[in-house]
Amino acid sequence: MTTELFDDWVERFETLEVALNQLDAATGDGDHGATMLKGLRAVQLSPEQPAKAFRKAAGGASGSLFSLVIGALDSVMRGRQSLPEALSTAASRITQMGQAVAGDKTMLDALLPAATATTVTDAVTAARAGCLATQAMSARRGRARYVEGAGVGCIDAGATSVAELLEVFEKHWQEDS
Amino acid sequence: MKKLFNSQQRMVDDMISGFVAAYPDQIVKGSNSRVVRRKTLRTKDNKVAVLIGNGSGHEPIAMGFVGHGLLDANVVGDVFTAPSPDLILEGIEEVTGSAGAVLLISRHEGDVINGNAAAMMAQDDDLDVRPLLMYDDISSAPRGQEHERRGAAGTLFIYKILGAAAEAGVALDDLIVLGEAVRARTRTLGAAVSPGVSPINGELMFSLADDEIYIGMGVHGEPGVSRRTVGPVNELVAFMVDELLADRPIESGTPTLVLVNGSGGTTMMELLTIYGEVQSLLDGQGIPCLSPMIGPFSTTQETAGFSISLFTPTEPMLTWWQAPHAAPLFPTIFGEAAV
Repeated sequence: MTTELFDDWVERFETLEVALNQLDAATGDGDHGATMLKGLRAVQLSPEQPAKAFRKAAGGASGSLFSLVIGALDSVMRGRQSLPEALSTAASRITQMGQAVAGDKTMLDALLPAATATTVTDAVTAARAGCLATQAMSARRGRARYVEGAGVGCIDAGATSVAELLEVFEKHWQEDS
Repeated sequence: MKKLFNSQQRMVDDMISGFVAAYPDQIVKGSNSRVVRRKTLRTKDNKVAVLIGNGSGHEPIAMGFVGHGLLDANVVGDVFTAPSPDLILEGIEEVTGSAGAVLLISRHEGDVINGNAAAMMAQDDDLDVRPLLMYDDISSAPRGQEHERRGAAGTLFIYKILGAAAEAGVALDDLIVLGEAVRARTRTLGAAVSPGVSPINGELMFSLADDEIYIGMGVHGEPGVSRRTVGPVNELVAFMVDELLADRPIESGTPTLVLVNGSGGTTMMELLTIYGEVQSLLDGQGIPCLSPMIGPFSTTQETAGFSISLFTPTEPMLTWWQAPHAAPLFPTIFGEAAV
């Protein structure tokens, strides 16, 4: 059930809020965890479509960009799209809106590898690996690009959130069985 | 965290309520309480609307600059967070008439993404809304890549000049051209001395050694791009003015508007000292200073720091700059002889 997924997303991000804020603080304004949680709580409680509820409640670039990931996973849950289809569509729209590409140290560095995986488990593994790879990258988009050293040495908070959303999603998703 | 709020959930709404309560003849909440607008809109009388959506936490910018001769509305996001496209669209719908609207966007990732999305949604609804990107911070991208720079305090020149021109009946196309011209003539560089406390998480927004100053501090407390050791302020200011003039040289004899903006935790005593140094450096190069703007206008909580903006207005720009306004928290602009 999608509502259980939403509950678990909220629960996971409640435990991650401070850590995500800290990851974000290294290169930005330190609110990424709070923003994700605000959006996910709206997904859990609002009668609106999950993506729209997230976008309106979270605000900021994260609200618009992550709403596409939320919408993609929601549509997979509802059987409207396959995971690779849904994630690829989300990734291309995020690329267009955010003007970012692979290697820019953004959420896309977790999302793009995940979109090429054929199973949910592989997608989670790919997202995790992509997320860790952001540690060595220098930011070319987002606030991190303006920081001394462009964030090299820090894992990107947005990429981390992509991996976490997927990992919780995996628990609720039964592979075609 | 020692901050004077009722709660994190209410802090932005409480601030808006206080502002509206203070200036009931000028300012009201819109149909969405996060849209702060003029009480009396003139946009039904063929006046182009001028508005901006932005994250809160930087007051008085931009909410305080709503009023006759300046902004028609401000769409107020959460602290340091751009409002959603949906909310910006509500603001656009609230104030836009047949003459259209300029949606100002201070160039930061969330503001750009959500502002452009809102403008597209409004255009789909047959509203003539044009986004105008504002950027002036020379530390955020090198010369030649000005369009990659972020918006800083120097964007205030665009607010005021477009606000006054729109009030006088200038049409949408001409306002966009005017705004781009002001942008092309403005440069800003900032420095941070000590961090503010984020109202979101109670943490210091960056860390900096006791004897260090960051150059190129972002308006959201983003750490800077280079460091200098604390010394007499005249050396710091000389360095910053050199950087500004290297980025956009100003010919001797060109009247120049200086904005010394405080980040929230720097005293007027310090800001006036800084202005004095700027003016004497410009005097030394034969650049006459127009009546300046000095104070905390674009802030980042109690962050100590400042920015210097240099703007060389044309004669019409100076006229708009000096035109009267009724925005509660925008300063009085003193006039002077025309350029």
